[in-house]
Amino acid sequence: MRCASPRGNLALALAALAIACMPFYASPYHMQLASTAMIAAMFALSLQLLLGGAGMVSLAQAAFFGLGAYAVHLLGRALGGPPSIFLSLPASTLVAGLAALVIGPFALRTRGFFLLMTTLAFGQMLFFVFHDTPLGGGADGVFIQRPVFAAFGVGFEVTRANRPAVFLLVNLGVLTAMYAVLWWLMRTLFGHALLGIRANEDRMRAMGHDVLRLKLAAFVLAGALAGIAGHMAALNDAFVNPELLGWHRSAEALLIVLLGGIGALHGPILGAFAYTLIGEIGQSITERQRLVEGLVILAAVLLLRHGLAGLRLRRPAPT
Amino acid sequence: MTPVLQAIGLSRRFGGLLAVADVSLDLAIGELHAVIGPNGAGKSTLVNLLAGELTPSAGTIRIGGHDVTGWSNWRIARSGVGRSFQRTNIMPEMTVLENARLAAQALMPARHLLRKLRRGDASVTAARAALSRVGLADASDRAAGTLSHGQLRQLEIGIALAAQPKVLLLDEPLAGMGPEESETFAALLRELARDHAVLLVEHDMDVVFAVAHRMTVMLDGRVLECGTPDAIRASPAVRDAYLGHGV
Repeated sequence: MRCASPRGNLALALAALAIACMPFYASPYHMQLASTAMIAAMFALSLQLLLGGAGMVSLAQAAFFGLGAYAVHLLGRALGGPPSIFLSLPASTLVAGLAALVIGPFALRTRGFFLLMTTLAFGQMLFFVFHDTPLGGGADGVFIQRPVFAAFGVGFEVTRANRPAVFLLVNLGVLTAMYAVLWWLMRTLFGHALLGIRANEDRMRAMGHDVLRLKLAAFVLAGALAGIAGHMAALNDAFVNPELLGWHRSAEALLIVLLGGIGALHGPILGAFAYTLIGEIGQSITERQRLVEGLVILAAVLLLRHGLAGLRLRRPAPT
Repeated sequence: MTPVLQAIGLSRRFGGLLAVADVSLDLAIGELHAVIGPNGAGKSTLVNLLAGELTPSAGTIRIGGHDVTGWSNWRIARSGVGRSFQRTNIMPEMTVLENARLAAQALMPARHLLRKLRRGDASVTAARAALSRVGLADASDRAAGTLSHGQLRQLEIGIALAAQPKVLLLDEPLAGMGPEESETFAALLRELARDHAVLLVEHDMDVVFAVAHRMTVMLDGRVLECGTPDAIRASPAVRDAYLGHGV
């Protein structure tokens, strides 16, 4: 998996700046749309660590996303009021990461198609923990109290009027931080080992790498990052439902990564914005939104072998 | 010489087939031990047993005196056993250097994993040293998949060397090579045996007899004969079963 070139990172930084300035020129609706895209980007980035990083295809990713979202709801219920984001964000990260730590050792004994199936099974098991149970609060979902930006009595009040702008900036901050962490991680020895596993897992094992442990570390980190994405979704929507954990959400994230490009770390960000945009355009021109989405993604995957991130003028050098 | 790797009564059964039966051998640093025999004699199975790729059905494997029987391949590799594969087994889309570097990295303690990879990293230094030893220093920045067949065979050994092992298990490193390349390779093997314990499985008898210090001849999974190249050449049993009478 490539990381963006210095010029690519500059382009990403300019795009981030354009988003950060949206409160000055965009409508609340468009700011909310950008937030939706950024949360999708966080979720897809978490999957990219597995897919582009170590070559693992997982359908359990949405379960960790959903756990992150439900952690906000359950924390609020336990506290009897809206939790502080400084409490709910670590809680979501921890819960999702721990779930991945429990599932990982079993699921990661398989690979390829069988990993797809075991992660599907574990993901659906978690789905049914929240589907129509007292814990989840019903099959149709529940409205939750948003976490507040406050700690120890000091805080910043989010009103209905400033909410789209505030959430836009918070989501941008979280997405940027997540990208920066993964960008650094892929440059460490750990990141290089993951790429080796993606390229030739058996050879890595024969070289002396503890492949299972490396994969588990990636799986837990990806789960925790998905939990962060889920937390941000709960914060934005003030609503959670069991569908957040469903496997089709994992499939959607796979589509986004594919659309953006498996071979590049920034692919999922491009993919998430493109996917959100396609959905929006599809909705405005037809009632068959999914059909438009499907056709565009099909065309993109067929025509762009390396996804949107592969659009470039020169051939990249070997890694 | 004390052996670094010892196999004692090693056997491996695949269903009804006894692929390796009661094989014992010692590998010591400074010695090149060649294993020869006809196809299906169990040579590759023996290498896979020693490398931890397969679990023995019976017998013991010791590395530096420690019992490592039943250890998985990555733990064996970490104990100082490097291997090359009969069929080239690399990361084709990565550079030659990265292929060798990942092997060097495998030996590093886990606490180094979150260190940023720099140009002067210990793993880079070890990989470069291994690559120059096998004669691939000039090709280190090329994608491994673009190497010629002979270079790929060199890379196989380079990967095994990069982890700075004490033992080298080389499974037909000369497979598919021309006579000229074979000669260069023979010199390399001789040179490697100076500071490693080398187990060589090879079909090219000219090379084997030129480089081996000790030889084991296998037939139907068993050790037929073990001794110096001269003793093997003179052995009537080996001549009847494998070498023929022209050698």
